[in-house]
Amino acid sequence: MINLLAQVPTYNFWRVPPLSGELWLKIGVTLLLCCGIVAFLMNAPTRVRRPVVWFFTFIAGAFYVALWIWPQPVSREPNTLPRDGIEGIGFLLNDIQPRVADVSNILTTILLGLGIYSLLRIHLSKIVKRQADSPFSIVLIVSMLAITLVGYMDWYMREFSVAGKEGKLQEMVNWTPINFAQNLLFDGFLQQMDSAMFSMIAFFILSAAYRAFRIRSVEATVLMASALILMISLLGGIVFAWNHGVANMAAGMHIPLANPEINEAGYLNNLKITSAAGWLRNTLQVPALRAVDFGIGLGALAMGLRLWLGLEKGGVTV
Amino acid sequence: MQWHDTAWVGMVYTLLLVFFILFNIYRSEKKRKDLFIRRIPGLNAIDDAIGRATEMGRPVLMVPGVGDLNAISVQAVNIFAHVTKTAAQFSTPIRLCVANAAVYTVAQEVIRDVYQQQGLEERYDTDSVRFVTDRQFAFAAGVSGLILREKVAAAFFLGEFFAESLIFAETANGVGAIQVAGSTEKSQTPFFIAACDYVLIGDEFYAASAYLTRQPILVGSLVGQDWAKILMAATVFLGFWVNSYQRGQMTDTHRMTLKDASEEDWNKLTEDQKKTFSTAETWKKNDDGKTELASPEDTGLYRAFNPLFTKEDLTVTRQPDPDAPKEAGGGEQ
Amino acid sequence: MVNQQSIDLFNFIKLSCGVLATIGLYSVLYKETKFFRFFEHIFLGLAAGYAMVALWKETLYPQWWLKMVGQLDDKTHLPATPGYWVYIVLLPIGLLGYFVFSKKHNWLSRVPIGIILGLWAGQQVQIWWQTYGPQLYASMQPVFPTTWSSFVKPVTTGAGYTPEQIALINSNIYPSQALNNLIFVVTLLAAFTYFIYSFELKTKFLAGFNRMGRWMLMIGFGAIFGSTVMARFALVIDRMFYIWIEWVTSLQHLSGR
Repeated sequence: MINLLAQVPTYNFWRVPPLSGELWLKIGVTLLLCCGIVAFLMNAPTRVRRPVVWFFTFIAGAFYVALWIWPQPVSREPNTLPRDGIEGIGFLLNDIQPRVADVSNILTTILLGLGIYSLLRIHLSKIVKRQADSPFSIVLIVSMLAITLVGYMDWYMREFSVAGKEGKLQEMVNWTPINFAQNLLFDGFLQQMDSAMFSMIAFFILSAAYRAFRIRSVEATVLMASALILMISLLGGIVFAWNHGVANMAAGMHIPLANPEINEAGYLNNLKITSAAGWLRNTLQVPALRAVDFGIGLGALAMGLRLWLGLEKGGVTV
Repeated sequence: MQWHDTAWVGMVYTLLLVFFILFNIYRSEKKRKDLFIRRIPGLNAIDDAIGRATEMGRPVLMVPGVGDLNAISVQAVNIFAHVTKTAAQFSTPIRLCVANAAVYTVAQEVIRDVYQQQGLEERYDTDSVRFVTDRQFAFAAGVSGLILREKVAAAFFLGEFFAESLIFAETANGVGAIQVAGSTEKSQTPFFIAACDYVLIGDEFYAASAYLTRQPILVGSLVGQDWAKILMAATVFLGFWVNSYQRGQMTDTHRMTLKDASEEDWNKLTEDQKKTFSTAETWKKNDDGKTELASPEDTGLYRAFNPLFTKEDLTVTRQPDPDAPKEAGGGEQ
Repeated sequence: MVNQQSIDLFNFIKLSCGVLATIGLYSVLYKETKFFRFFEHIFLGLAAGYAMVALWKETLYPQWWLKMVGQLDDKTHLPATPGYWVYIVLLPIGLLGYFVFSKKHNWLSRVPIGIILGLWAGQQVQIWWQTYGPQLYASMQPVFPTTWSSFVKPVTTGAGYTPEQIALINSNIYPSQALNNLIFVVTLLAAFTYFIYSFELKTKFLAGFNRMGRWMLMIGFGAIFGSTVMARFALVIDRMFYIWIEWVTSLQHLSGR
């Protein structure tokens, strides 16, 4: 009996038994409360609007700032008590962190409905107004409904049906038409279209490179020259021939290339295309792009501060 | 934990940067005088691009990238608000294509606001800000289709772009649109440079709103960022001298101890190797008098950036929680 | 039970659909036709529909619903994980976003937006040093050689050195490395001056340094361009493999050859 009890998670005000009456009651009460608050906010005077939005923003940001600045508990073991108040708060922050990490993702997902609404509105109105492109809008809506329907049915079967729980649906022989339809739409169409679109970049890269080569400015020349060196260093055949040529040259000059103890031979190694490309990357590309990174990091930090503290006039968060 | 040993360096450094930014925002609000910002060509081109679109009677396309809702997409939408302001005055149609529902919400709000503030609410079409899809390449296909069908005259690609950047840029180039692009993803900037007319490099993107609106707060923040950059550049500048000195000193100090302290090691070397190593003396004496190889990690500069946690630091005894479940681990809220 | 023949047929149909879709999307390279438009709209529809499925299946169900209501053990039906009822507040907060189309209450849609942005902003402060601290340190490269025994760093592979000796070689700074490090630091600082906005670079030296920084940026971007080209071509080759090898093989397989 004691063993059985030990496996049951402990409960408190925040964590309650799963699917219990207490849980539903608390959920219901919270929902009602939230509705009340929303109704109250809807009738709130105009001047409290900005502070309300800013309040939520500030609280959200303050959590991570607190997590950063508050001393983190050292070597925390599960089920131990904090030594003092400071550590207690550190424990609390650490415990809440995984919950807070979910928030952005969940909110964004809930907002997805808005996007779908926008999409449907545009295409349904095209259909209703019988615009020129309306047949394509019908295609869009039909394929959307189809994959939504079979997607959910397929998921439900895999998650909750007996065959799904036993893992039988892993094999194609046990599939139902629903699973086939889902597979066709997702693997057959969606994934392939992703790859097709992705691979199209290769054609665009050619035309972009062609145009860039034609621009006669110093900067474009510098850019394409360094691109060319890197490109050549990745073409197996040319690299082989080039590096072989360097080795031949070294042999002609009686300098052994790979002898570590006579380092002078290394100079010729620098003529190899792979070495040149590597040098370009490590000595010029890395620092130049790190400067870009530093700038972007500071830009993000400054923008983050302005959003968090609501400093921008007419900004989104104030 | 983050205050142990030298770990405070990072905290203090970050706080210093935060202080620079906030202090300059505060200062610019007080002074309110026009501060210098260097020319950013891509941003000067905005008005020309809209003018062309107006002349041709074709729409202006804006894409705030495919990233999630964060400061980058908000900044992109802010720049687009500026674009829209001009476009609204000339009643040039706009198309703002979004790949994230949360960004869509922001864009809808901000763009409507722009029309409202201009008193041109009747010109606002809710469907000009549209959610295309949140799938990267489907978005690329959808936006390309739109570019080709509507033959946009100007295209603004600002925000977080990934591989699809080139699809947009080349398609828009194909219909002869003027393009202004900028990505915080440095791996995509070269493709924009190759394919677009004007490109914002790196954090020119973040400087854009200050440049366009000249709001004191934004300009102040930009000045603060510059201070922070100078601090970082100074750190690197000082750092490389200090590092050079410390690495050199490490070698010098132990030069004398090499022969007597590591005779055994020395004897292991062949004659040729001795020649190679004759001045490679990075050895150090340990606390207990033994010698061992010194590594670049023994410099003070390294320690400043990499705090050392000893075993004692990490050993802490705490009382067990009497209420804790015996099996279920993890924290609670 | 589905027999093997039907599975083969299904696989062939699936591959054919993929081939058709690929050709459909590729057709835009030639011209924007109705053929492309058809596949574009299928693509957009499927993507939106799949997003609707993923919305519940991949995010809300595992990350929100299960955490909120908790889970029972499949076999014993005893409580396995507790329910955190507080998660419910995210629903009304998220739904506030839907006020965006309301003329009167649209400001409420800024609440979820503010929370998402606030979290992001707080994280920027939190992770700044973690991200850029190591990069700062890595930029402080020593520019004085610690040994003159050799100009370049000796090759250590296959030279019969003991691990200690290799460590020794690695901890030294050879003159060629010192030179490269100097170029590294100068490049970094030059490129960095390009991103200074609010100070006029009046002196000739600084203006020149700035121009050099821009060139260095171009070299860096060019290098990225060059290294990406090959990766993109690999993708096309993969597509061609899909059309010419996988699909044709499947066709042959189906026709029993």
